[in-house]
Amino acid sequence: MIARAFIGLSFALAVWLGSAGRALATDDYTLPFYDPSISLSYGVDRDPRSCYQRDWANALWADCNPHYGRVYDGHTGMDYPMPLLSPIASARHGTVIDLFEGFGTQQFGINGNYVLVSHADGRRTLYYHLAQNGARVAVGQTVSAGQWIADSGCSGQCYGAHLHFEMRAVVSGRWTSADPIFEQRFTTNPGRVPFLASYLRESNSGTEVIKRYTTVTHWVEFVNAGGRTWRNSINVGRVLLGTWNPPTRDSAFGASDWPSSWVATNVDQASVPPGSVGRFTFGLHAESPPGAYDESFNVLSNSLRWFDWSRLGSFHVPITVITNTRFDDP
Amino acid sequence: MSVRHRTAHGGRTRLRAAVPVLIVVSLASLSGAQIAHADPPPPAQTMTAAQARGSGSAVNVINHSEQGGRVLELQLPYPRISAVGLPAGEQGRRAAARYLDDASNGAVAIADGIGDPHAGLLVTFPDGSQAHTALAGVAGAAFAADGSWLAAVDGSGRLWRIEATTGAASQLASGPYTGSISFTRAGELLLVEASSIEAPFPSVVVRFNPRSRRSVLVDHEEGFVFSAAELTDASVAVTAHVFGGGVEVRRVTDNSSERLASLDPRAIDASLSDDGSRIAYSAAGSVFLHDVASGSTKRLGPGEMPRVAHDGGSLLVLRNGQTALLAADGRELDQFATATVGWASCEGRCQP
Repeated sequence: MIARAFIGLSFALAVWLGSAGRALATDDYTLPFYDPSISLSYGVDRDPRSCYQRDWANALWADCNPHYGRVYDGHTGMDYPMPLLSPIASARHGTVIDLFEGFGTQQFGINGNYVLVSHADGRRTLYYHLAQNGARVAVGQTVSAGQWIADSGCSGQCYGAHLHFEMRAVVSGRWTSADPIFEQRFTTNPGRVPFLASYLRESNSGTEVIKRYTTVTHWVEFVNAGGRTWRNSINVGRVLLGTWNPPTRDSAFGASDWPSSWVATNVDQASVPPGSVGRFTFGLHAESPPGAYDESFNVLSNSLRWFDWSRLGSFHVPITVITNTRFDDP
Repeated sequence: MSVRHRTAHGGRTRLRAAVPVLIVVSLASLSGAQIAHADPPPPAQTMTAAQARGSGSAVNVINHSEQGGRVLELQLPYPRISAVGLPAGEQGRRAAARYLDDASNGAVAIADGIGDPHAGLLVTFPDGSQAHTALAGVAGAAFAADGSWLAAVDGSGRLWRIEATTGAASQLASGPYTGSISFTRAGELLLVEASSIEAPFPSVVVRFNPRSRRSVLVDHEEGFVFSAAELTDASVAVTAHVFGGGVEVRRVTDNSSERLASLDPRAIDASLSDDGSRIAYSAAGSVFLHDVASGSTKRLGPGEMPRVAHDGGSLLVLRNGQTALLAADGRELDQFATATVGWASCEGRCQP
């Protein structure tokens, strides 16, 4: 009887917390990986009862069977199938408070490798089933949202390589599993890669002809094809346009409006939701001798993670510098 | 139900940390016991020795008298899991069945497919007869003192009572528990209870009374407990990853908790002698033996899954899918062609 009351109370609490989470949706976490092809296999079971399963969309199954793409009974995290040794990213700025990496990369058993990160909102995120010696961080280290913190594996109770990502929050003095999808902590749909873009158009899709010692303004637009809102602030979601091939290369065409020698600009708009168009406007200043050039750019998030350049449309600007008769010999 | 406060290693009182843990365990254990009827028992079947031979499932159990005690070598009919694609170190762990425990009447419990959710628990008797329980993903099992039944944890962390002769299962508690399971001399079960079976920490050690189905907390430290075992002085040795730090073995009694040893931060598969004076473990593909009294640690060479003899004088080690018997100084004393080799745990009370 006591136990029934406990279960009922837990269920009511879970529902209430879920509701509160929806109301407090903050879009303050990012998905813990980079690969656009990765999608969710199983999410959090928000129904504490045995053989009752409720997923992030409130769909309910009164059975014990796993429901691929949605949920399995009693699951406390989110499973993302991915190849062994895939990069794992911190879901938010935080501090690494614990890790273990002694189990074999594919060592089956109850226990596995993990990294545990504490965040300023009082929550913790757990990255589990990691590779042996797969932590790329140390306990006490501060990490940024999107930072590569570990390599994936299949240690522990793992029937196929995947990341078990879990968000934990304190409820009534106890660490409890939370569902970031239901709580809208990600803007993304389940499994949708957070940062992805596709080329739409630009101010001049042909060759930019620049008179030497002068500056032209160029803009390019990309569709936000990922799951997260792009922002031009310094917080989670900041999206920049940087030089590419190789990345972070000092550009010979940097203009005075560039934030740095390799960053052409932040996204123009304060907020670009998924599906919307973001514009990047920047100057191109020619100091180079007359001739033909080609400047490649790529988009990156949080100053850390580059987008998939080929999916972006392999964006580059052909440039022809011509003589400026005012300063150059004809 | 009763719970006991203890002093953490190092003498610091950690009541602030202890209180929520105590509450969690009390409720979780209680709920586990009460809702045990929710899960249907797995099917069971028995086979005579002739039927086992005829079906190709007979298990040959060979007794070896070795330095350190009696060693059981299990010769199994075939691997349940394909080893294709598995790294070499994992083939020995997963491709074969696993010896779990033996009883005073000569029965041997085997998990017949690690990592195979369709496998189960096999009990084979000296006369060749068998009882098989389709307990999915057996994580651990231990015989009761009289050998009439076993306590077993399945892949979902549920605790079951298995009748040895029939294989019939009845659920004792829903847990979740990890695979560390053993009986104390008082007839209680020593279990590691976790918050989640896929990510099993924080976790705590509990004593579970199979008759009342009630749990008592053994150690309030919140951590990542790998295993627990009762020592000869009735204290409990707890091997755990310390939050934010390395791996420790603690000795927990009714009144105290003291650190026996700090191991390599990557240490796994720790195994203790009966008195806790020697601790073997593996880390990064090597096997180490730690002497508690001197505090010294010796690397014994490559290998994994060390299992120390009752007296701590020798140990079994898995090497390339086979088993080696090593002396405490690392000398190889014997070799076995299979991975399914273990110390007879009924040592001193086994039937001849």
